[in-house]
Amino acid sequence: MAGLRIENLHAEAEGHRILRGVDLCIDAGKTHAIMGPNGTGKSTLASVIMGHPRYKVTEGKITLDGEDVLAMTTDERARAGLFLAMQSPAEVPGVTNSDFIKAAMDARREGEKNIPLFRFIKQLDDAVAALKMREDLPHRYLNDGFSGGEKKRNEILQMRMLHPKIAILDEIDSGLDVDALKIVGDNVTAMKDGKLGLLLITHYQRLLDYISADKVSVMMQGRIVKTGDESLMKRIDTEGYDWIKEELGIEDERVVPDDDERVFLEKCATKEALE
Amino acid sequence: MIAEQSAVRLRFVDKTGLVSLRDGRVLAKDLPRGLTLYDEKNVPEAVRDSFRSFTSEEEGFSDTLYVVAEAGLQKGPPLRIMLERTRETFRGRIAIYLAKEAQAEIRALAIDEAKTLVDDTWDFFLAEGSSLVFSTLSAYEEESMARTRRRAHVHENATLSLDTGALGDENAHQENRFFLKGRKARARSRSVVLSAKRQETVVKTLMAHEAPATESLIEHYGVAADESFLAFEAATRIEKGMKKSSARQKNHGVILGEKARLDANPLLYIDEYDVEAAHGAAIGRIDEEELYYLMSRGLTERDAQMLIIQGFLAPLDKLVEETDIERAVRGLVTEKIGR
Repeated sequence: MAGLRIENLHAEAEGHRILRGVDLCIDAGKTHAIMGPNGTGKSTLASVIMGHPRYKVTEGKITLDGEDVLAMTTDERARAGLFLAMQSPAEVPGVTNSDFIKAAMDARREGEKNIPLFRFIKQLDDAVAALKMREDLPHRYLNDGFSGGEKKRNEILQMRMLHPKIAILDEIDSGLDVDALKIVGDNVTAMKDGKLGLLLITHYQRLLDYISADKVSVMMQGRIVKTGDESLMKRIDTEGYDWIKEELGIEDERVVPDDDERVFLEKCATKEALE
Repeated sequence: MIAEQSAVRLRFVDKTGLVSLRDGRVLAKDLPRGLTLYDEKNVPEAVRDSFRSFTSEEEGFSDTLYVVAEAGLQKGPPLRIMLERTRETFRGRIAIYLAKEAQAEIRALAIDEAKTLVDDTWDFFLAEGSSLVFSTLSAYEEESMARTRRRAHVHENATLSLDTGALGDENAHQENRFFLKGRKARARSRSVVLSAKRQETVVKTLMAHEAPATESLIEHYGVAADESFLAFEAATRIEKGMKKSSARQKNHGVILGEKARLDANPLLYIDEYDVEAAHGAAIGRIDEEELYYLMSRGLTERDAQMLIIQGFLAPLDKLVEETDIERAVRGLVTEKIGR
């Protein structure tokens, strides 16, 4: 069946083993949500699928419609149809959104002519309006000085312009207020065309109020530990994750080293550091 | 490649001077109103005297061209100067004089195909209340050596804005010295340098605040690729008593390739308390996250790098507005580092 297949995926970063045997299928036309506490490897999984240079795959397989994804470079993965809406996308001063998006669209038209300029402008204007973004977005520098919410919407705008086969949305809901969440949810739902495979990574049930999921999985200790339907997510929303840990005999669910996650004030603001 | 209408061509042919000055009438036809060109023989005494403190006898210029903007001139279309060089040992000097309250814009272009030894001096005298926007682009051949000196005296309430872009394959030494001589004089100097292969480029910019309430800004942007060496030296000096002055420096650089080197030395010498000053340097390789982000949308590594570099050199776009020159600039950027 068409889609993304992940088998027994192991990956590490700077000597830390983070993914420890992920098995996951995202079928074309289906939506799969992954939930889980902080530091259990969800975002790492998204980055590894896209080929982030920081991570090294040590074992396992990823295929897209049967093609070996791990043998591809990041740009080849994108052109093959993978898309990752990032949690914190890079800011690129000097490069305008429209130059960037046009270059990305042209890159997908291998062997074909570049997209005609007027068609591109029309599509981009429509996408800006649909996501209720500032009209000058095409001329603004890529994510430069964008608020958290604007960055997230800009990710969805790119997804809309690029028509991926499989889209991974990494905590697209974090930092969005209710109105923005609804705009993002409606836009993503409108892109479901029976062919798009979606992987939603989230902490909260509220994203699934706007984008319905066919399957829900829970990630702990760098692998998928439980899979069910939306009722699983509802139970997590009311009871948290402890019952799953208890059921599976998991004591420490985390695999991502602490200092990768956040910096605590007491760690950096020492007197020595100030001196 | 470059539009020639209304461009003033100064062909440096021999020691006696500039050919275009010999048939000055042709030149005069293309000159924007209110601007006059003179040579050493017919320049008004007052103008020559204004530049006296710039020059010492030993400098021995082959020739000097004076560009004079008359008092009160309103800003019109830019004067375009195109420099060509057919002889190796010409030491040219162009002296630009703005009389009181004059406004002018000058764009100079120097692109030579012969291997040359360039030794140019640009002197600027801005009288009270005048304003000059000056931009220059140069691109010489490999194995050329370009020495360029720019010196400016900016008087009360006058504003000088100077942009330079060096995109060629030559080894280059640029020295820019600005003297803010009157109250509320302002100067901004922005240099963009692209170095590749085994090129060596040094850009030195000095801002000297010699009057109170003066304002200066130095901006250096550079890309060093291959095995090239690029150095930016920015120095700002605020003398005692020059209260309410403001000085800023920005040095930005991107290093491409293991063997390239880029140095930035921002210096501030301040002998007065009541001033504002800031300097900074951001030099490094292309950010891995930026590259990954662009590639995650399907751009090849090369295309992603080129887009980031073009973005980094965005200040060049302000330097050249003509689409044909812009295209030529982009072509040069791609040719030099997009291989």
